[in-house]
Amino acid sequence: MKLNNSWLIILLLAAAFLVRLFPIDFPVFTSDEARIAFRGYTLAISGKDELNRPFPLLFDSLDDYQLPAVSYLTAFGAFLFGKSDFGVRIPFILISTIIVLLIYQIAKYFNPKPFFWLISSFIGALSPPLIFLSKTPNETIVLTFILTLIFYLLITNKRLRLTIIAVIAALFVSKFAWFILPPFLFFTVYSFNKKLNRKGKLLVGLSTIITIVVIGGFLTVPQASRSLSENNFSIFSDITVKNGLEKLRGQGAESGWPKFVDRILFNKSEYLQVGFLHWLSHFNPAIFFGDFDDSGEMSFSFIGVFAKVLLIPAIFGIFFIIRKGGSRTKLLLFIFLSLTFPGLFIYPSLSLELNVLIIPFVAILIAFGFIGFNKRVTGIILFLMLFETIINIFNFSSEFKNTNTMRPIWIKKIVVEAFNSSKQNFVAISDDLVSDVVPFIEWYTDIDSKNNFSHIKWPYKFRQYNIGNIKVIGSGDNFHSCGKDDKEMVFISKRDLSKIQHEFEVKIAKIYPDSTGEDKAYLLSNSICIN
Amino acid sequence: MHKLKRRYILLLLVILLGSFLRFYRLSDFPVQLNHDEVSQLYDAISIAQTGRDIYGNFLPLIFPSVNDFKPPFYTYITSIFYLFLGGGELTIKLPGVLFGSLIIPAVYLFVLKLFKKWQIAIIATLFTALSPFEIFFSRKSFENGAGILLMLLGFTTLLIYIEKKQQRWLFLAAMLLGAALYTYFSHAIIIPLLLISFILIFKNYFSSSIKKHLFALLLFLAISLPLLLIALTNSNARYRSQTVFVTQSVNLGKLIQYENRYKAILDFSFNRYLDQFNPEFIFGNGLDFTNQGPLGMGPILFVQLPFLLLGVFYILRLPGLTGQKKLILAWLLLGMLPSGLTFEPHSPHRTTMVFMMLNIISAAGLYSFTNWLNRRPNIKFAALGVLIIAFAANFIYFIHMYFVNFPFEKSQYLHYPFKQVAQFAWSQYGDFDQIIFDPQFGESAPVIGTAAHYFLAYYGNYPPAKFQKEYRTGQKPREILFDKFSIRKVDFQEDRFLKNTLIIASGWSLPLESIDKSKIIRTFYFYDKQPAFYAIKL
Repeated sequence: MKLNNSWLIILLLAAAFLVRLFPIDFPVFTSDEARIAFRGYTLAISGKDELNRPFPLLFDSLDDYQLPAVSYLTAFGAFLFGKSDFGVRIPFILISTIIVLLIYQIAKYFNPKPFFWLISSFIGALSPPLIFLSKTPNETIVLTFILTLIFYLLITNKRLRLTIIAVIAALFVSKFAWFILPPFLFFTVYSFNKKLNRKGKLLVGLSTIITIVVIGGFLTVPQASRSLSENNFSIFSDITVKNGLEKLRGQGAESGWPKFVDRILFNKSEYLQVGFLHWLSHFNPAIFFGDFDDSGEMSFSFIGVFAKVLLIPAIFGIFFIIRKGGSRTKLLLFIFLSLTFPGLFIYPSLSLELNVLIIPFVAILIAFGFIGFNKRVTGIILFLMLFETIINIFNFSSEFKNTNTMRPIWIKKIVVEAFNSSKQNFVAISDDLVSDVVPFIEWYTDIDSKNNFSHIKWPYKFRQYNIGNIKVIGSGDNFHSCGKDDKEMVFISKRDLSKIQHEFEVKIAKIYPDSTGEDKAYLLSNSICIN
Repeated sequence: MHKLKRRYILLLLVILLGSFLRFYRLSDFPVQLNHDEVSQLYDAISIAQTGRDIYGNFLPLIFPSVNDFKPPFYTYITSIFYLFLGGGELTIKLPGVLFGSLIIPAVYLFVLKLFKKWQIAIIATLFTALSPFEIFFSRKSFENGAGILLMLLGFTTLLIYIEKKQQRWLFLAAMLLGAALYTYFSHAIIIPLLLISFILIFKNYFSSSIKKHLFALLLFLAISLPLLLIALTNSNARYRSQTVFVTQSVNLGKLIQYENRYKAILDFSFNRYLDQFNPEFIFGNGLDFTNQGPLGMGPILFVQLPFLLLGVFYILRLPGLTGQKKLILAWLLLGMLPSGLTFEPHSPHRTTMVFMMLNIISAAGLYSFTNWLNRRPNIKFAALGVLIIAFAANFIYFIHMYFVNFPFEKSQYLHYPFKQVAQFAWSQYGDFDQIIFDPQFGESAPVIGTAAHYFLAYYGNYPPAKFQKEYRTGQKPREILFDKFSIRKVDFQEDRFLKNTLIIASGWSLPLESIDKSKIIRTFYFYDKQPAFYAIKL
């Protein structure tokens, strides 16, 4: 029996869904993801976030303000399925599966062959970051979905209202959308329709106005400009370039070069060159086919955006587009630039989120490479791709070790024990065990979230240090012998252990190893209290 | 005829410009001979005078040098220069700049045969003449230049053979490419691979008469045979390969802890290989001229970037030339292999053949751009003006980086001020029974200068024949002895009791605060005036 195309895409979507679904508790959350997961739950049951603020529009995270869409999407899942991995992850799994369908639909626009549509969506379905990010609450997968959807709606030239809704939604997902959307919309509408018709003008104009309103609204918030400067325009606040320019200029003066020459050579225009090259380095092939994110924050470790073997069709795809592609197909290359250009201003780290946004389009580019291959070569490449991807995405043991710090599975045991102890005793936990321990306590235990309100209206990079009976030990805290009636359980890191060992005789009741087997935390059995 | 003349006048002007940039103030910049140059120069003098290197090896095919086992070509060439010019510093530099200058016309010939368009060839020579990496590596006596020159000529003759079917070109190619294998280790791997690719790409031209091609192939193999024997039988050559291989990378070591070893090596190497194509490295700071993060100099001028992209478009859309296009692709992909498979994250010196090809592609891009401009006379002159200003600004930026910033920022990497140390040590030779030099030094972290004995011997005009007899290793940590010199780790707690001894060491080895300042008879500085070494009289 020969399967027709519709059945094949349904099968592919089912497979994509299942790959994303199982195992549902992998990857282990980072502290920010745990915070969003818990926030989703508390919003769902009480309408208040983890800081007791009713239906806020801006949320807290370790790096920046967080826009609301992701938190409310998580809340929706938690509302339906409760405080569970399934509940908080399922909205993102579904979204990511729909991206595969969108790739299939967009591919139709670029090539008439059903094989091309299927290959494009197959590559998208098995892209490791798209699988990975579909399993955690995060902005990137939602923005990727919305931008792909907008692109699909624009090139098919229909459903203006839905497009406007999608545009507005994107503005509440991620700050990147504020910078990407107006040029992206203009570029897509203008290039793909070869003119800016009335509808197009309306859309671009409206989205620009809404974007300006949203940014304007954001700027009324305290710390908003700091948030933009630190997270979206960090190249200008980075001291390396500024100091470097002064130093290099100074050496010129010391060597007798005319001052004006040094000023011409080393000036603020250097930011442009640095930013430009930094932006282009987002297209480093090593990111796409080598190692996308070895920290494990955004993808499985030591695999690229695509399997290595797809480098071959990617090269052929580029060649095909340049040599034989029509004008619309060539413009596909410029989509990569328009979606990643905020990378120009974010220095020194790469904004890998921007690379994720272009995955659906790169999948289509790679599919072009398959056009010239015969069945045997295509089969071998697809097999190798499948093989490498499966090996990497199910390599849990290595993954736990590689992401030991970023995604600490071992912290669960510590926070659960700490929480249980806190029912009778006062408990303290070192703050350097993980990047932020509080969200893990909130997510992994049944702690009453009403105990941790801090009454902060606009929390920017805010960290809680008290939650119920649990105190988080900072580097400035001091230790002392407990009084007769003091009962305190102390879970400490190596930092605090060495601090205590200077002053007290320490008896360790229990040692907690991390995923690599190294001792990470210690439960003290003698009466040591803090402050 | 007129056009022909114009073409050659232009070529001559570009060669003169390129040569000028390579020869200009060659004695002053780089500010000192680096450890590779000094070791090769002194070995070359030793070979010319005695037929042996400084360790007494007779006409070696691999030079132990400073335990880095150098390929032989550059040292032997330098020894020939020594016979004519004597042992001055320029003797080691001249082959480098000469090969570097000759690359310019070689690029012209290669590009002419590749694209059959002299205009692209002329632009490519101009880019080669002005290229930061070409100038930088030529002026630092880097042996790779000779390899690139021979390689270019070898593949040019192969292209001529494809065109003319005359067997002499085939034999000439076999000889040139065979000789190129001896210039640089990475060439010994890349040239055979590229040659195989060439034969596969142009297989129609090679499959006609097996016998005809077999002789040329045998000639190539015969020339390669000694190198092959060294690679298979010489433990030093194997040691060299192992020490620079990617498995020596610290980051890979960490990765292997948690992953399957072979998977980890494959993942890591592949990622490193692809990372060589990072635009930040190629156009930003790949030459590592400064310590100022992103501010630096890439192997290729930043202003060439748009023309590189344009060149890719232009070449891909050129009708015909399928084989040539495949050769360019193979050149780029294979050329990055050595850098991708070695322990350093980026090694521009191992990828010069790729940068050279990027110059050629961007030349094609500029050519297509000028064609486009020719069809738009109203903006032509304005656009050309902007272009010339942009190129000039970028080039002056490079000149500033090379002549000003690079010495300030990276003098340590040239082993500056080892020359002054060596000259001072010889000036004190008669006043002390023993001179101890600890080459551990550094501005931000300590490193050990491994060529200290070469510096001392060379700047003391020490006869190589005598050095060969005197050279020995001692009992103390990393001790090398010759004459009254001891090059070793200084342990001042112990050494302070020595009598009539001159100790030269850095702050990393000396407890400066507890040393009587009157005993410090000289301080040596890095180029940026930070103290590097102290001479202490005991």
